Amino acid sequence: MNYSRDKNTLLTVYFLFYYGVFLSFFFNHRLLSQYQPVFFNYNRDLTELSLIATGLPRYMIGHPWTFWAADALLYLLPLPLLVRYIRKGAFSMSLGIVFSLFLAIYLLLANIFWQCHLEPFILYFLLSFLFLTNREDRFYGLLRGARLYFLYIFFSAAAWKIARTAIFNGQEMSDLLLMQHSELLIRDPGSFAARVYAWLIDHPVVSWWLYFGALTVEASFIIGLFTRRYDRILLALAVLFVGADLLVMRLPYWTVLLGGVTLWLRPVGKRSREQRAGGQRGKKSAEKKILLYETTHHENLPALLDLSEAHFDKVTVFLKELSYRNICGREDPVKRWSKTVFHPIPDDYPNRRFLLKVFSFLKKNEHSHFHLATLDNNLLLFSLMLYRIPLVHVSLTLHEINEYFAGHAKSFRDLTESIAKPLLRRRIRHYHFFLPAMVEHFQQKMPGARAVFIPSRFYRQDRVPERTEASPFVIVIPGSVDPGRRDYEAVAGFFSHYCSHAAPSSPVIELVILGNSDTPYGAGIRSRLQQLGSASFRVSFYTGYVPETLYEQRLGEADLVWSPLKVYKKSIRHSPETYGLSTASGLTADLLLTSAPALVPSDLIIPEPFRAALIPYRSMEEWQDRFVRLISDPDYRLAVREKIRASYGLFTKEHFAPSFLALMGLDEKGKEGGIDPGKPVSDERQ
Amino acid sequence: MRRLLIGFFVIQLLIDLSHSLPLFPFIHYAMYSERVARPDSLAVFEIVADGVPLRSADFRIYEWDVLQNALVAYEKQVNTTDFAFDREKMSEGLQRVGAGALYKTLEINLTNAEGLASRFPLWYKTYLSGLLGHSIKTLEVDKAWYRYGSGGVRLLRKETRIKT
Repeated sequence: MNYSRDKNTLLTVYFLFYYGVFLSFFFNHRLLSQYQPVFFNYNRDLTELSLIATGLPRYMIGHPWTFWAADALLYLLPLPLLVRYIRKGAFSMSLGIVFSLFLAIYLLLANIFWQCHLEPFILYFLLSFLFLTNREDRFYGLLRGARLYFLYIFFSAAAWKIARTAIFNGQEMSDLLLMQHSELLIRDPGSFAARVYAWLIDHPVVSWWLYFGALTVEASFIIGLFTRRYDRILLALAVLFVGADLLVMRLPYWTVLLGGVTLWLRPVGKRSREQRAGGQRGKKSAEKKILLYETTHHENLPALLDLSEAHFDKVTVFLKELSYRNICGREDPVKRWSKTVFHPIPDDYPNRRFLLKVFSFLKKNEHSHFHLATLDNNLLLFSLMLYRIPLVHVSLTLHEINEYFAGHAKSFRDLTESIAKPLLRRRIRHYHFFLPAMVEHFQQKMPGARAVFIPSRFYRQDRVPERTEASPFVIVIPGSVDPGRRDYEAVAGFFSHYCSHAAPSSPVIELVILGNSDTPYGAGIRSRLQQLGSASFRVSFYTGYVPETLYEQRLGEADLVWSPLKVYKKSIRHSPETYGLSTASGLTADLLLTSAPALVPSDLIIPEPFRAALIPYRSMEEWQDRFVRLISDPDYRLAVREKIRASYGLFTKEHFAPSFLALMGLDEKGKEGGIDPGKPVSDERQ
Repeated sequence: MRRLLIGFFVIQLLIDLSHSLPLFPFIHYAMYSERVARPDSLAVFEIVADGVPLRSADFRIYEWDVLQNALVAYEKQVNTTDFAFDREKMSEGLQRVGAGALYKTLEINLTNAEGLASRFPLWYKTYLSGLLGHSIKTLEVDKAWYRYGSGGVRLLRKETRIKT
């Protein structure tokens, strides 16, 4: 068992250091019984002041036998604790509490009497709490806390050197050396050490670089907050730092290295690997669990949920309530995805808290996989949190490729996102796209990563209503009336031209603007189209959010879908994006809700799987004839629909299972491919 | 457990960031981060036992550290009249929270026993004898101020602190 092994390792290292430190006290005449103080000091520590207020230090000075008693306890108190552990394999909480309390009091007394400087000894106190528990989770929790504290010791020192501007003082190290070694320089100026220090003092530039080096080493410990991958390197740096401190400052700070044990033990990693391999921890730990995170693009979830249910033991989704209500139109999500647990979050729930909730759940429930179906806010928080779950396989549905590689510095948010993106790219190596062209485009930018095409939903013939030949002829333009994304001017222009030239016997047309048109721009378009209203042309509009049930119903009624996309658009942060290449429109999701053809601008890269359904147009005149044939020839319409249905036959979850398994880093049997998700995919089995 | 750890680090950060008095186990890790200026003079304690000046090179780092710290602490104790300022602040603080009587009760515990001026030299001599491994007959401790220059150090002045 790793727990037993880790406990033994910790116990051994702890008490080696413990007895090492207090034997060094003995050899350096620093035990209380050797020192036998005659007065106590005020070090301006509130706990120390409280201890002084109890009268204990004063009493001890008056009763020197107490110094002997304290030293005897210092050496003997760990013994019952150790004996019990060796005999019973467990710690006694009462012995543990007594030991921790006594250790704290002894250290405080040592500081009160001879100023032992408590800094390196805090970890001895904190790690002693490990002897209070026999619970594995608490043991590792405390170990993690002690590890963070050890990291904190170093990087907080770096932070203060910067915050107090000491690092910007060119004379800093020279002056520090002078004060630190004044006695040596005065008493023993001819010694080798004194000459070296004097040289450094007289060469402030060189000594400043030493100071800068120390700061760099200290600052590097911050990386430990985000990943355990470099813990052994950090441990080596800690040893290097302590060695350099001894040489340069003559400070024997080795006692702090006890904290190195927290970097050496890697409990979480070991456990997770065992769990993934389905090792010795029983069925529960061998489970494959995926958590999906979604905020706004709920229409993209169905395929991921279908595939997740097919390949995972447990599926959990965190999403906004609005998304939950609209995830699959007429069906109840709980019935459709019966293995999935949904966690709807109120729509007004702050995004940051939502994120923290997700990560907390993720860690607590030991998920093996984490898929981000959307990533649009709090990128830095995301990236940092992802480094705290180094053994969870993370994948991402990327909606805007160029934006993902762009850096901006116009605002604080831009800056944080620019910092976050490289971190995300380093951490996330598995990507999902809605179009094959996006996969290729992305792979050119990030060749080491794995990218797959999976549609947003699979095609289900039973969900697409059969169209009767009754009029009117329904043309649906899905999506909100956003001038940045779609060219509604062209739509209005086309129908203006069509209505003025249509023969009286032409079929009735209903144009459905299937998205929120409740904007000033939308109102203008609405007004223009409504003016065209006649017995043979009518327009339907919606204001506000269109519920998914209605959305799917109206799309199902479509004889023709029109997507007047502006192919070259700006991303949410104003990076140039190209529909069909670096970003996907909602059209790819909408198409699979109908078997109607779709009209798209000719400069849109036609995705091969949708080729049968897409009718590219360069100008309105160009496809006028085809349009007339489409509305007036039912047989032609039927033939087109049949062709589309046939081509959509490949949009099944079975067909996309290999892509999904690749996205999840699983082999064809759905098992872990021995892939370390933190490593670049180029290292993996292709 | 998680909450305890979060609470611990929150207090640690608050104490660190607010520059408040430390509260064991919440202490500052600044490690030479204060911006320093070169002092006009370097003050050192010079210890002469049985007529032989002691040098740091003859002791382990920790031993020398304790020897020097004891002298620094004693001087501080004397100069501050046994940390009277700290006690005054404590008294004010307790009075402010309505616990003035508590201070009166604790005051005796917070004060070092009188007569330290006569006891300390003897104690120091005994402690030093323990370190050296033989009994010392005479002890002199001076505080000396030096000026450092590129050519070396120059004595400015010297004051005797202990002579037995």
